[in-house]
Amino acid sequence: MLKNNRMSIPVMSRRAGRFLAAAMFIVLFLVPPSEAANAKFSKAAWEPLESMAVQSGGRIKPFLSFAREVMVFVTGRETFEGRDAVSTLFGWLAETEAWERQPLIPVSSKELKDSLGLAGEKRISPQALASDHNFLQKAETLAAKSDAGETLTFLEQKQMDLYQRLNLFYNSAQGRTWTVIAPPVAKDQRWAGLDQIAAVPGSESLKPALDALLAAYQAGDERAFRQKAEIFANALGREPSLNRELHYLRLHPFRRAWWLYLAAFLVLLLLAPLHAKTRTFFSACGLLAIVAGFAFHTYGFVLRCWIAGRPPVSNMYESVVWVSWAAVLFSLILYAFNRSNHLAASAAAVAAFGLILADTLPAALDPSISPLVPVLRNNFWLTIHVLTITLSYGAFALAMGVGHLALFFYAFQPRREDALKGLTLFIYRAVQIGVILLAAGTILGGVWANYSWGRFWGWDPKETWALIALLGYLTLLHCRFIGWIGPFGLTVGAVTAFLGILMAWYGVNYVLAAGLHSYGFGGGGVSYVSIFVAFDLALVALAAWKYRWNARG
Amino acid sequence: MLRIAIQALYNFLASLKLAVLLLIGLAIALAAGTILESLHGALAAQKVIYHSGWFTLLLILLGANVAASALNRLPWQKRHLGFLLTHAGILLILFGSWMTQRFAVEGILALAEGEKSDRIELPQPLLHILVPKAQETLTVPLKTTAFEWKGRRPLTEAGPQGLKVYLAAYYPHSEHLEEMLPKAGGKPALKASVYNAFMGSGGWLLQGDPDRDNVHLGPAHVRFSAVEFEASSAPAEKGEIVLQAGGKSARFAVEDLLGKETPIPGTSYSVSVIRYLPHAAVENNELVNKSEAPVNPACEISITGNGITEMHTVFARFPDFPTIHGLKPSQSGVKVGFEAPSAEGSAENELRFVRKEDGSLVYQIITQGVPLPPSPLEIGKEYTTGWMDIRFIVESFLPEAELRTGFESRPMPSQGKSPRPAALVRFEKGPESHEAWFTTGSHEIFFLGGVPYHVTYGDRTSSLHFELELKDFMIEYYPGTQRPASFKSNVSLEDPVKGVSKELIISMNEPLQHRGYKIYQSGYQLPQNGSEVSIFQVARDPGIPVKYAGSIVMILGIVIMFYMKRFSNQKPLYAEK
Repeated sequence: MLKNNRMSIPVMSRRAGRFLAAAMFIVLFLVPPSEAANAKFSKAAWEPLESMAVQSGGRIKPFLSFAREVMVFVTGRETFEGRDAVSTLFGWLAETEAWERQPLIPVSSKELKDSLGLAGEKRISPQALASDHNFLQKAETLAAKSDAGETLTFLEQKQMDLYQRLNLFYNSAQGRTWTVIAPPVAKDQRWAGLDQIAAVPGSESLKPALDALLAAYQAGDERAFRQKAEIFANALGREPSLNRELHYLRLHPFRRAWWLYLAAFLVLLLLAPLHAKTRTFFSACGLLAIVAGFAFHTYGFVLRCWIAGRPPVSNMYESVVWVSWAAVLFSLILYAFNRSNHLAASAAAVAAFGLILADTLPAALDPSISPLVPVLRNNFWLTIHVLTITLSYGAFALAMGVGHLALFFYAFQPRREDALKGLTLFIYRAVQIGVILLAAGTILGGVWANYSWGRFWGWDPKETWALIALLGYLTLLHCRFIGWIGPFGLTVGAVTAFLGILMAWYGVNYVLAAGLHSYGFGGGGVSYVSIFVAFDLALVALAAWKYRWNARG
Repeated sequence: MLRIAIQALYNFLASLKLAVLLLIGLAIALAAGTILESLHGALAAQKVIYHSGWFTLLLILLGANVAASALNRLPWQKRHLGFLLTHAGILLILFGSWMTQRFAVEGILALAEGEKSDRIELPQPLLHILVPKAQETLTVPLKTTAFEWKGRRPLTEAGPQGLKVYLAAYYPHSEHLEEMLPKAGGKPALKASVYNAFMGSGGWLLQGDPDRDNVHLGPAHVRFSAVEFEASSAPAEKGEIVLQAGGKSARFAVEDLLGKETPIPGTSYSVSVIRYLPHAAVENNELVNKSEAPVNPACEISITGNGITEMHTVFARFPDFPTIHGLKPSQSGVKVGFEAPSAEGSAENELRFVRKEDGSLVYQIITQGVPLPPSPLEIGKEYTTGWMDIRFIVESFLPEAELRTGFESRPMPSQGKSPRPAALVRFEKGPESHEAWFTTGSHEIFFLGGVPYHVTYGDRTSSLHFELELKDFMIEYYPGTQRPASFKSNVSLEDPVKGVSKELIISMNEPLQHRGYKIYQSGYQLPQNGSEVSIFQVARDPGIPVKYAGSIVMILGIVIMFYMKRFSNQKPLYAEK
């Protein structure tokens, strides 16, 4: 019945469909991602400052990159009340007295609020914190304690963290962190901050240029500001090699990608026929959006590789981006064999979920590009190992996404055997891809360990959990092979076995590494992830219960 | 009958059911291992799980299951290829693991610049017992435990000159502790705690022991003395202002600048101190002075010249705080610092406990060198000091005491920090006995039955049969940071047997290979004084090629099984029903 209803949606002529799809694509492409307003001046006025070169965190980066990192460190976000990072940071420098009264610094835990005598406020101003004599004194003793190698309690860690945020604010407002002045000869030496602007030899033109820039800012004259900014940035010296990173930062490729994925998911789920193989205008639009999203996703990834000079899978942010990419890649490969809107919709949902997390939680998933520790550098086997193993995460994530959709069918439309047959096949295929890649990736981990320190296997928690996850999926495949579980069991298994991946990927770093007994428990969003996992498992249980109920009735 | 039993056993061994049970069992055991490691450290997880007998048995069972299920399909056909390769691969990997466990060597070689060695340290602690007179030596391996252990376990009952050695306690991670015990003829000792709302610390003070009769607890100095404090007449010093401009620096005493414009050498600016606040505090957004005690010394400073005047506020205790008012980058480019005398010297705060000759206890509070009259001290009673809400309490007092040191077991440190094991060893000879604590590198000399024994605790060493010398250690940092980007060692290798003598570089991921050993750059130490130390990981593992071969075969098998129908045409069991 339902199938017939869906089919009655008027199907456009092929030509009109193509035209409309192209129009939609163009609209999506042209609309820029929502950029926080640059208060006081328009966006263009800030461009010269965004492109200044800064030496920070062991590399040379554009000021835009630096400003976002400082903002995330101090405030936990990339923007503040609609102002973007560069203009906010400049505001700290030019109008410190106004900005230090702003509630910039997040005070997260209740314990911390109590220790500061705060009531309900979520944030505190730098000035209020800096005039809390007791807090400063406490922070000094904590710094000494931490230097002496003593373990800090949870509250003490939070206090240290607050103190570091405070220091970074004032050091930035003072221009000390703005290490934009390169030594005239040896550029790999330590660069000077703005606080030393008059003291650095050979940079006499800089101070007048900065004064003129500050004056133009105070006067609120946009044209003059832009002009002075240009002069100041030129006086510092240009680094054309940073244009690529600027392009990457301004484009927000991953944000565009998740928009498109999200659009694709909604279009495919709500408007395209659920029956797998039927092609309509909307299914074409959905597919086009996925392909466009995938193009942005890939482009962003390539840019990031190029900027960092290495494959970007060295931290949680990068791996989330890569795993999302892999999920879409495998869905496209499977789609080539078996064109299914369900498959595409599930992949779009998985990728959009991953990229939204990466895009909106900069404090937890750090998007900055940082240099690697020596043992990880120029390491062919490490690169191959990490890419392979995270590709397998992508395949399993796809299986889990499709599994959710299948569970929905089992619970609410158990008679749609045509749809379910396709979905369980995709789950099986995705798990197969994942098993090969995870087995290969785990072994390549051993190859890397042998290459780097002469040990193939050392029961390190990360490798052990990769093995546990693999054993989980192998159990699933064997159980299916024996016939202990049917297609429904496979679906539930593909969703729950992903917990092993989640543990290997996230849990080892944030649950085990901190030590179950230590104060770190709760760091890295462990409580949120636990709640999410529990919620998801409850959904699975609910679907299973509904499925049994249906089967009985 | 027996045939039937063997057939039944074989069928069980070859069954998929056993395979699934083993997979689940392994997964649970491994998960338990990682949790155990998180709680009690890697060593505990290895002893209890990964290297335990039952875990080995589990792996042997897995190997038997994999082998039996392959043999069960005899005669093999083309369609079995994927399955067979996968299972053969698993067997090879398991065999390679056994070879590693049996034959692999893994050790550490640490060399200071200019040092040469042919021995590596293996992670096997042992006691080295020496009787110098008789030139007798004995090496006893120490049986370590994964968890805190106490008891009596013989290490050897036939030591040199009739010595018997027992392990009395072993702590995988410990803390060195001191204990004050009453002892006739000892020195007076008391235990004090000093605290306020934000900090607290305490400890034992031993009168008359220059190392142990005073301690810094928080911002105060606490002393246990036989005499009362006498005020010195020297006034408190205010400290110095340090100015940096154009790469030069100048120092001025605060007194000299108070209200006096003084030119800064090498610049066209002059400096003066507007206000000196020994006890600065912020009240209602105003910086005010709360007392004359130098609790939080601060100076308000003006820098004048070239038509501008800059106001700075500098805090001696918070040198990292920005100093300038108006909060733009400094126009003058002058950096201002303030160094006030620290809590040491005559102007410090001191809490002094005095045990007078008549045996009575008093305490004395000395603020900035000015003492209050002594008051009687009661054990267990809380007193206030008058500084920053700091209070103190004397918890116990021993008129005659002795300091004894020992070790206490601690939970494993978090990842990245290495544990400090400690062992209590008991030496017996006839009716006499001696107990001593050992940690890595510790050394103990004692007499039993008139014979001197020297005992050292360390790791077993093993000869490489060739010698390495560290010529130079090099480290590079990421620009503008203290983060190492790479480090490497220039070493020379001498192998007289093989006639090899060469100089080469060992760097990250580029090990030296010689005689089946691989020598990896793994770490370094940069002591403040003394030469740089390069740390190498030395490994030899004949199981590696077997494991690699197994891995390749297994992956090939899985791919064939999943994607090449001709070689993997095994019907799922459920479809046969």
